[in-house]
Amino acid sequence: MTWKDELRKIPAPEPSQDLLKRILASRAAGVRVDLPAGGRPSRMFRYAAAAVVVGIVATVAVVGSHRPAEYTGNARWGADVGLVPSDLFAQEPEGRLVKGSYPAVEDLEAARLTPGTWTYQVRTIIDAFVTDTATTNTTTIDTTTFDERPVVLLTSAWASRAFNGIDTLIVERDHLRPLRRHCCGHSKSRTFDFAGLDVGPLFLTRPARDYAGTRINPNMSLNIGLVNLLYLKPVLQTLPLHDGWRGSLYSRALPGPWDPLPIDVRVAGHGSQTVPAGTFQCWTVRLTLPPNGRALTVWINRRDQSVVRVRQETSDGAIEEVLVAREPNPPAP
Amino acid sequence: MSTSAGTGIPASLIAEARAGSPDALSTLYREHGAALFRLAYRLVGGREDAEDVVHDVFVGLPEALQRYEERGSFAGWLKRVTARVALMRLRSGKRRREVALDGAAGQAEPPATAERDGLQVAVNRLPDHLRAVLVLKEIEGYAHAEIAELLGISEGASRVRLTRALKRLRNELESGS
Repeated sequence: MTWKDELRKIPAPEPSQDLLKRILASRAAGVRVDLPAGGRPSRMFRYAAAAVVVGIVATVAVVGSHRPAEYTGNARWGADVGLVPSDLFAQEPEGRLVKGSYPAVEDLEAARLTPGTWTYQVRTIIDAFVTDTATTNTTTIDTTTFDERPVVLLTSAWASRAFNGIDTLIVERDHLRPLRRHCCGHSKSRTFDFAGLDVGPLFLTRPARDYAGTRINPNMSLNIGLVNLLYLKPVLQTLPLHDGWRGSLYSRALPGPWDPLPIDVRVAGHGSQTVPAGTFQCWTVRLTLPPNGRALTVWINRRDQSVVRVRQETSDGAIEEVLVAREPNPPAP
Repeated sequence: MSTSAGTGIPASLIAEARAGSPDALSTLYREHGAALFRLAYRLVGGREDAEDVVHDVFVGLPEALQRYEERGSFAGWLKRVTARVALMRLRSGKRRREVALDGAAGQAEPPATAERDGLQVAVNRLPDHLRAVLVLKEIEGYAHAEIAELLGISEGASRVRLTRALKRLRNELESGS
């Protein structure tokens, strides 16, 4: 017997017992996958555009720009807010319809939100050389009142040599439904009021039963800035994470007709992570854009589910956001 | 029981699966799921990713069957679809594995006995583009023309990659590392 014969005998594990159950649950939940059943496979990977990285952090963003013709709503949003080009957020009118790969996340556990301040530093890694940049992002979660209602105040502030900005969101404490958002730069700051509008908890939306999917340019990648811009850090803190957990988020950052951005979330494992703020036992979570599997990797503290590290791969290395400081009790606003 | 021409599978089962019947999908999964998982596992090199591949294949199967022309072996068609999905994931996952993600790997991966096997270790060390050709040719028995179609490369490139993969394997095994 040659070693080529041995190749065929290399053992492979069996699939999990619950895989069939997950498949049937996904089908029942309306998840559909467009399989590459015929023809040659796409070679788009060779021609994919490089992901836009830094600009996204400093830009007011709207997730989705595909306005259905039948939309007649009057959501109050600043029409002069600088919109990011649609393809930056993977939204292209001509793209194919895509849904999340897993059952939609419908409920967030508001009680999991932990008050605190987390400061992150952005670093670039090229050819294994690590360069810490001057750019920082600070996420703050605090409880307070707004119009005599108990609320959670969320802020995401970033600072670099060229730009400072702060994005503030007030959400109902019990249901996490947005009430007011104020963002982002000095001269271009805008306030959005959401009272009475149909906005899901932390901007997540629940797809309708007949939801056909979102048009997404398959060349696009998830971007490290999305974790800050789309309030994904608080969302991640309120997910019921455990080994093997998976679910699809449909995020829509402003009210209106915009297509939601589906993001697949999967717990890929756990282990310890050492960052400048210390060593933490973390979940390793992959955020993936459904049509192409391109991912962000996020390490989440198992104790309070705060984000410890985010990593975006690039063609020659990676961009990371790492936790450099944390305060469990932020000062009162 | 009638079978679709040459597919080796009851025509009624394909029709029911095409209509999205959970029972039909379950039957197909029980019959083919393990083999497809092994194929996906060997291509993507990890249990979680392989399960995602099989998950996606079966979730998308009813719609994909709309385009299935019921010619040739159904199992063979299903394997080609699975290989394509796995290769798409492999391309996207390649960059994740190129950098050390401490704490990111190692959850529910291959059994320890397999890890100790020198041949498997050597195969796992191969770059993705070489391992894919090796797995498809030497383990799954595909022809170079089929591999070329699956990978979107020329037949010549497939042969070259196989040669390089075998050479690297041989070197690894001879050096005992």
